[in-house]
Amino acid sequence: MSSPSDLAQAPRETRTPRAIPLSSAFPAGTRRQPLVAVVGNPNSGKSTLFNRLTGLRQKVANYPGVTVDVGCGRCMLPSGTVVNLVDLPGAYSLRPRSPDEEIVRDVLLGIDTTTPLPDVVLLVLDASSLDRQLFLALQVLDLGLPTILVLNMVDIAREQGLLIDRTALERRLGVPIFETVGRTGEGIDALRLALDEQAPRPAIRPLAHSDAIATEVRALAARIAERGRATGADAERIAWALLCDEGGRMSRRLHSASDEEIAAHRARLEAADPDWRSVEAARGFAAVEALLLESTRKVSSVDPVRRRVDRIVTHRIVGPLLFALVMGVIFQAIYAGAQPMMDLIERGTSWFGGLLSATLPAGPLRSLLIDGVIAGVGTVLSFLPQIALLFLFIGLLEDTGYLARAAFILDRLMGVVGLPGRAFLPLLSSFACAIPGIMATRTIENRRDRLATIFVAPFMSCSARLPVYALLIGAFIPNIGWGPISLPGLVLFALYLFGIVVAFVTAWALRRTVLRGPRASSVMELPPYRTPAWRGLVTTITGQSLEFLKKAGTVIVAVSAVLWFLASYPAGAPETRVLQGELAAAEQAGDAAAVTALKTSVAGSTLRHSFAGQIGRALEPLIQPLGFDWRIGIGLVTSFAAREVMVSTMATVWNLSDASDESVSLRQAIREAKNPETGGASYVPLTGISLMVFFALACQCMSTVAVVRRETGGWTWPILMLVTMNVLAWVASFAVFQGGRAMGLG
Amino acid sequence: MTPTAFLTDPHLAGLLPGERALVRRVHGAPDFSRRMSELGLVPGTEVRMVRRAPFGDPIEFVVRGTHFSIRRAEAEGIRVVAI
Repeated sequence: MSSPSDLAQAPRETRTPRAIPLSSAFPAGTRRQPLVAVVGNPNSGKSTLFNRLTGLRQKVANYPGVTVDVGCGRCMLPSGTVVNLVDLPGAYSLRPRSPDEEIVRDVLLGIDTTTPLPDVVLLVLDASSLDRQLFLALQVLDLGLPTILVLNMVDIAREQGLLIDRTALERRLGVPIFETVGRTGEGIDALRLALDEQAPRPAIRPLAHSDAIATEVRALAARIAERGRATGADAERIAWALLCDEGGRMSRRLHSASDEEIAAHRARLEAADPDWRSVEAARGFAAVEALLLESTRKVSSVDPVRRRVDRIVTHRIVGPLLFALVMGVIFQAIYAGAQPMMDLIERGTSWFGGLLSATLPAGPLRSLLIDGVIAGVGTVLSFLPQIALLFLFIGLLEDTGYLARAAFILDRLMGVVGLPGRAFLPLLSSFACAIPGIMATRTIENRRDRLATIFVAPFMSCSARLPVYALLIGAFIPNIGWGPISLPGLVLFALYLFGIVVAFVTAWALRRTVLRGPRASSVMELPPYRTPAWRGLVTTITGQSLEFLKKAGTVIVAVSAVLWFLASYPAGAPETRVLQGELAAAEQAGDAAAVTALKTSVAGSTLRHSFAGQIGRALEPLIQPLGFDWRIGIGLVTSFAAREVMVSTMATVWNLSDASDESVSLRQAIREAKNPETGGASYVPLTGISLMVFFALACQCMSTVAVVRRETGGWTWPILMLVTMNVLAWVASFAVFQGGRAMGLG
Repeated sequence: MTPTAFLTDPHLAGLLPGERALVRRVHGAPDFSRRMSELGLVPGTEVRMVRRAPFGDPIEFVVRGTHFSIRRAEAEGIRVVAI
């Protein structure tokens, strides 16, 4: 007899919903509401439909495998009933090849630990691709759960000349079928009405096993029934899933049969029928062909848009050039296009600061609000336009289908460093933020490929680095231009390129050392070209921008306030008092030159004696060889909360030193910073370049470390990553600064 | 089937762009051949080679109306008979 945990997560005597441990995905109080699982192939428009039904913000994209996290939402039905919807990841089959697809299998078999067995399955198929996607439909119908079938994107199917006899298909499958267009919302109301009624269980079990398979399935199912609580057809479904789960982790989680037992059954099956693995598919597709013969008619089947566009986009010479051009335009547009908005926001915040300083009495509170909070948030806020633009471009590439072509073009090049073409999407997303990027690696089936991609994703210049780059470029790189190309834009492009190169070299090294092994197979769908779903795109960008603002509004305000305190206290060191006395005397004497000099000295003294100064000074010996002083040291420490905090730290540090009323912008403040001891410039352009190189490589994001721990299931990888990246950053900055100095630059 | 016959069997990667063929058998790692069959590449299915990627690898092919990209090395395991 097995331990009590055997199948305890999947006790299923009947197929009725049961009380389950609710995960965070299903907040308390929702357990009595029916659960509808949205299931379908990648790229079937599943998530668009889910968004239509729930109105919840969620990522939708025309690229296989974007929905890597399980989206949850609620839908109010016409009768007033509220149902919970869960948007399961896209799957080609219930025999998973990736962690993504495992979730789908586990939920539909009722053995998932976080999501209960759904009450209704909303099975979404791309109507224009029925000949392939109906296979998954048959696998799902075979489970016998109440099911509603949705033929999505019927508009495209009609355009392609496909005529579908819905009633004939309904009759054969025994479940209600609805036609929808997720992009426009056509058919959604009818679907809502249908959800209000009790969905029927499918009348057929379309995928009967062959005799050889049935023998082993029954034998294994008998053992499972002996031990667990699954019986009859349920036990057989689990047995078959276990037999198909070669190299998977199902048996270890389920404890219903030992690996040895399963292997023995599999070996017997192998002996009886060496082709047993393709029997289900062969039977399934034979059934699909019969179904389609009865219920559809194809008038024409060419997609002229795809043919014409692909001829250019994947052309031997034009294709790669076009790709380089698209990337170049995107980065130039992000840099130049955001400028007017940035200026506006900057002016707005400084106006607000001026308003506050006019109304509030002088004192610590005013100083905290203006120099700490508003200066910090305002600076970060001004980078929002760039971040929104970046999200817009990534979304556009995904939605139109160009992203898959880019992966198609790049697979060979990525293969040089041992990464699959599929790693392109996680890496591209990492330009926005490494966290969604790392989560998107769940679509990479091979563990070695996946780990290598996770490891190098943070080298992609994320949007949090963008404010830092923009600040330093603005401060140190002269704004020279040649037509549409400008030197600052070029430097930004070079920084992004630098991150990519380091990522690839690192991946190459990983695949030859700790992650040695053959390249895993990579089959990737090339979806048809589609016009972007603007509505979804706008909600996605809004959501991501709000997320950034929320971060700016909470973490960064808190860090700004703490920093203001660290940089302002303890106040009144003896040296500062002496300087303040001299300043007052000089002001009375009206000696303007002395006043300016003394003001800088007072500020320098205050900072030097503050807590922040002490921390920065403690770090100085370590970072001096990189060209950084203790003030940058403070920024390096605070940027561990989030990289963009570096900017607000600098704002706080420099606003404090700029005690006069003249408004000196942060860029100028940094450029004109004087070393209080020598009187010379604190930073030279080489410092700026060294610092940008440091930011390009260093792992300074606690959230990334946390996500890597979650995704890799241990501390080994995040710690290895943290150490490798920061050592690399130090060495590279050292090389840049010392090498540059040796060559007489700066 | 003799080993030589196996080697000279035409495969998906050997088709010219635009050429059609019928799937005979899928060779390769167990999970790979299973997935190919689940994508509809079962014996007797028509496949059409579309193009090679700009750098020669992977290749694009169509099966049951859906376009897929697959590496040459894997496509060599998809044995076909010319139509």
